[in-house]
Amino acid sequence: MAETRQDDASDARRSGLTVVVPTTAGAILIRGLRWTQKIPASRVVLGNETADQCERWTKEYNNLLRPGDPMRTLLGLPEGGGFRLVVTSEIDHGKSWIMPVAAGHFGSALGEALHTDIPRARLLIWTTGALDFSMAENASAAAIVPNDYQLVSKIDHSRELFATAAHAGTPVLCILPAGGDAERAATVLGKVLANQTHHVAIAGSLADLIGPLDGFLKGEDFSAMAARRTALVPIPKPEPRAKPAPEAAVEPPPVEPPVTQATPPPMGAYALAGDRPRALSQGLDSRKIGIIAAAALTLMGTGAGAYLLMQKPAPTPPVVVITPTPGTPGTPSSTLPQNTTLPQQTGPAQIAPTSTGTTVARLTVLAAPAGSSCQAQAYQMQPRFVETVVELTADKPFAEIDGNALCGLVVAGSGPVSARFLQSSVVGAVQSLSGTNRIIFNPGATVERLPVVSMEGGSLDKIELRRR
Amino acid sequence: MMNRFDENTPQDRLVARASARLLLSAVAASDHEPGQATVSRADLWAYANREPGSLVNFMVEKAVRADPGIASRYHKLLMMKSRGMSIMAAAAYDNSATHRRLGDFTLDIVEEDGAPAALVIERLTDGVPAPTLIEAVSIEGIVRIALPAEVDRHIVLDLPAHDHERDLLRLMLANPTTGVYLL
Repeated sequence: MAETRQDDASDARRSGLTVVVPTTAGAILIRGLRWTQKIPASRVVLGNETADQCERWTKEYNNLLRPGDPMRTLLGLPEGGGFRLVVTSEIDHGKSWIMPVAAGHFGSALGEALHTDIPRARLLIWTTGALDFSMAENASAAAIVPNDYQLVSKIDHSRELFATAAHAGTPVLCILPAGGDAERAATVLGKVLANQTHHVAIAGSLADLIGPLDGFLKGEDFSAMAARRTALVPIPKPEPRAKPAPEAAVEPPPVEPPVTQATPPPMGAYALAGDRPRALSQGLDSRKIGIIAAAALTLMGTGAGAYLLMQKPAPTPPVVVITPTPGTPGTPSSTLPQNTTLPQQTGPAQIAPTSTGTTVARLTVLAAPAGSSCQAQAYQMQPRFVETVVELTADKPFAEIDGNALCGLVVAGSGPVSARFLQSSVVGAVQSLSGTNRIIFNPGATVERLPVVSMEGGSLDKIELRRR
Repeated sequence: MMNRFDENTPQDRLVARASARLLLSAVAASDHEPGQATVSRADLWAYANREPGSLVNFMVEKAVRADPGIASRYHKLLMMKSRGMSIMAAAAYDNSATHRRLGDFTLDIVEEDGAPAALVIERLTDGVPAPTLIEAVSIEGIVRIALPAEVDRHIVLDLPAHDHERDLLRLMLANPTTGVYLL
């Protein structure tokens, strides 16, 4: 989806950001953003001669940016005072301006000026969508409000800006709101921006917006982001995440050191990023480390096919553990998407009562987090699932799992046993997201029969899964 | 010393010009007398109720600026209509920190580098409707500008220097003798 930047030399002359507020009637640009301590109200004004105030927009903008409001704290904006946002045109209705304005504020907080001179800008930011800050304690909790954002129409109205950016060699960062026609719009954008430096990502929350933006502003290349994206979206990558501290106590020690070391340890840091209700900056830093690590991963294999090959080398350092499940050398590629571990938001992963028999494999049941659905998570750049670990024991030829809101299954052998799903028994899986150890069910399909886990190296050769 | 205009020295020319100016202004003043009588109360009322940007009766404006009697009547009209007014700033500090109290409102001019000056009107008491217009009357002229909606008890109006009317308002507000009315 991205090219490497060819005009690195000209980057030195560039400064500031151009932020587009796309509307169905045409693109609005942010002309400036200024904070002052002296005026305790925020406002949106037009960049015309008389600096007329946009009445409706000002009201909503000020509502978001009162002192102490989540948007201020999440974006690291100064307390008190007020902001003066200068735009080229008024919007009639809708709140999809929140994402671009948040991007503007974030860039501005990092010291980038906002202007409309695309050829001079370091980056053209194109994003849209409303964010719900009402319950937001951290950036990933500030979720996109599901809506029909008319993405394709907005893209169409921004073609001229994209062309200007292409002509001047200005990179374009597009963050689309998840849901609706986001996938389609991403495809359209991929075509529209085919001949220029760009990065397209789908965001489910504010964290997904500031992640790439922060990465870029701190010098990361789009190709690295693209690497991360390929790592995440089309093929699940083997980087199950180390558990956040609270769960660390629950975590059993790794059974055995990993067979190979293909995955650099910093990966662990990445998966934690943005998911934990920690300070934003910390999250970003660790996220960035992860980005680099993900880039390194993709270098190992090119394209989708590489993934299958990579499964054999089996990279799983001890740190790399699925939630409370210990590292499992036999099945290194437990193939959880990077951010599958979001349990602290949705409740910690629970370990099912351990039965008396010896554990031969661990089955992680992926369910949709509260307030979301499998549909929403399956196509997320960084899917978040509630994980429940079920231990499969040698004394039972079947296991019962909770079939409610079942999004997917991941199996990992324990000790000398290697486990995988019997492919002939898998029904209704999304091919691009599933592998031998992992199944993401097609959200639209009705899965009547759960797959069978086949194992090698243990006393049992298969375990049947049933709904409880 | 007698002036001899026929000598046509540079000095003479200056004196001649000054004399002509005096004469012309006297004529203009005498012309104006009957005109003043034509500014009726209805005209004055209509002028006090004008919308910013609409057509202005220049005869009334001229009369308000030139005739103390009409100016006083106009001032009373605005007082009746206004939600807050100040004929004279209680204390004028300097151009960069103009502060006035107008009834339930305070008025400030905030000037910072890199941004246009901003007129900030803060509503101090609850239950008072926010003004929609500001009018300033001084020797520099009469300016009436529509105010944006109130946000968190504050009305903020940018006064960019390249907009003549707003720049004039900024200058007038710096003048402590300017009458300011919130309508």
